[in-house]
Amino acid sequence: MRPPAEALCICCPTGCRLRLRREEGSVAVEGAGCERGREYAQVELVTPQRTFTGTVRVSGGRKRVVPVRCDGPVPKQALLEVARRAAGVCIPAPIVRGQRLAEDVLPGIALVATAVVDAV
Amino acid sequence: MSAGTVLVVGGGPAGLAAAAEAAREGARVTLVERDTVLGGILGQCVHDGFGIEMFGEALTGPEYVDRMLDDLEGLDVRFMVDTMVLDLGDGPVARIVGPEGYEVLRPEAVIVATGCREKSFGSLAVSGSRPAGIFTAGTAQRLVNVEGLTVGQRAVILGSGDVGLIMARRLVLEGAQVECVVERMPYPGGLPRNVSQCLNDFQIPLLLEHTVTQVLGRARLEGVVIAEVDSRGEAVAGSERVVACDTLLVSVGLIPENELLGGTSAVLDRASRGPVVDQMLMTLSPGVFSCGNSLQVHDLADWAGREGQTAGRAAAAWARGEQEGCERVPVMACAGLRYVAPQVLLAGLPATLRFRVTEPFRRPCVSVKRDGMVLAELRFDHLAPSELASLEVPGFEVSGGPVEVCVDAPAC
Repeated sequence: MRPPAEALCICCPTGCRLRLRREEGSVAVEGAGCERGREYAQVELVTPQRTFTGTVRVSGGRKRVVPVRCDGPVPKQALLEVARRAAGVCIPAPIVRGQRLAEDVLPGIALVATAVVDAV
Repeated sequence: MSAGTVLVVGGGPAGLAAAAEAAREGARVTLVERDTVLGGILGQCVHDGFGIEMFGEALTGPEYVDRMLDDLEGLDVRFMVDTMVLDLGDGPVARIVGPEGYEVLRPEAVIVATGCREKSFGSLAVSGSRPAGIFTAGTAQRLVNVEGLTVGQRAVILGSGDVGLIMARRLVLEGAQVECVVERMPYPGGLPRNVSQCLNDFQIPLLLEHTVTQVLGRARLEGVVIAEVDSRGEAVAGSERVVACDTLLVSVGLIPENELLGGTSAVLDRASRGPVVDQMLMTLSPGVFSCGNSLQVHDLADWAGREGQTAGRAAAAWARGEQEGCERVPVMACAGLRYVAPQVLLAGLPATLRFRVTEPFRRPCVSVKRDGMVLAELRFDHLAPSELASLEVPGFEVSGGPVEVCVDAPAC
């Protein structure tokens, strides 16, 4: 048995301290306060994922930037790469909430607007 | 009984929730917001984590606002944006000015939901010149996330509160180098999950028991001097070192915004920095209610929203003429508690007490007593000053001394 790895659950503000142990192909989780934490632990040990949020530039709009999120989880190591790609995006207004602004910032992952920007 | 009128001051998470609830309870609601859009601080919070308690989903700030506005669809609420409340008085009476001109309003109830402001760099007495490149974390957040500007290339963050931690990650994702986060206490000020996903994920050092003693540079910031602090919070001589940077973000505390209450007979609690209220969230000015960050600084927008709902229900009842004549009992916060709110309890009615401790506790027991009798008691796994905690107290009978709230560790 490997020694336990420690992780802090980021699913909710409680922040349970998780202890993870890989046993015969599965991960045993201790310290999780709920099912979401147990699920989070399974993924975190193997391929840590995060939610990417940020902004992209807008042209011809009432605001200069629009807040965005990725429409799927992003591997932790790829956050900066997604950020660099978002920096190269400029979208004309008007923009509606949920609008897909850039496809495949990572394979199968798009940038989606989380707010509205009216045209000037 | 005819429906009464309720004025809500502030269109952030607390104000929007208060307006929705008051309208659902039958009040005719007017909400006044000084910005040109609704949503308050959430408009600049592009990160997610909002709405887990309210909606069961992790939403970004703008998405949470959208949900609140959906909630208000079809309710009798008149929104007045780009409108400022000039002052409030007992009555209550409100004088407002906006695109529709100047108006004097005399609603049956007012709910003050004006949020909070950031503690400024100027209040820290850090020596040096005052070069460009020093921002409070929230100001930097507005400049980056709403104005679309870059604040700098190489940053140090003073204070490990959530706003500072969130901006540490934001600056990295915008291409800046974040050298470190400096925190004078021996523990971080923000949520553990923010330390994890904002600092640990990007290997940004968190320097506990350190502070910034001096800023360097004249026209533009060139660096900061960092020193260790001892248990009294004093800089340790000889521990100073220079960290080169062109940007300093300051995240050292939030102060409830209660300027408007100055014209009323509401009294502020110096410990919470919000008004003294009862469990209906009414201040000492009859008909004037308080909720959200202007009552007490919250860790989560969801909780500010819940508090707004309580105030909305109570204000609507007050506006209908349901004005209780209960015995009012003071609440005393004992050693170990920075404050408890509400600070007054109406006898016979249940209450939600919220409080912060003065230092971290492991396995503490928080008890609510009156005349030696325990009214409520709860054991927590841990409590820290950065965590707003709560405890339910059932209604108690009249006649007796003040209610005492105490924290004891180890367990009760």
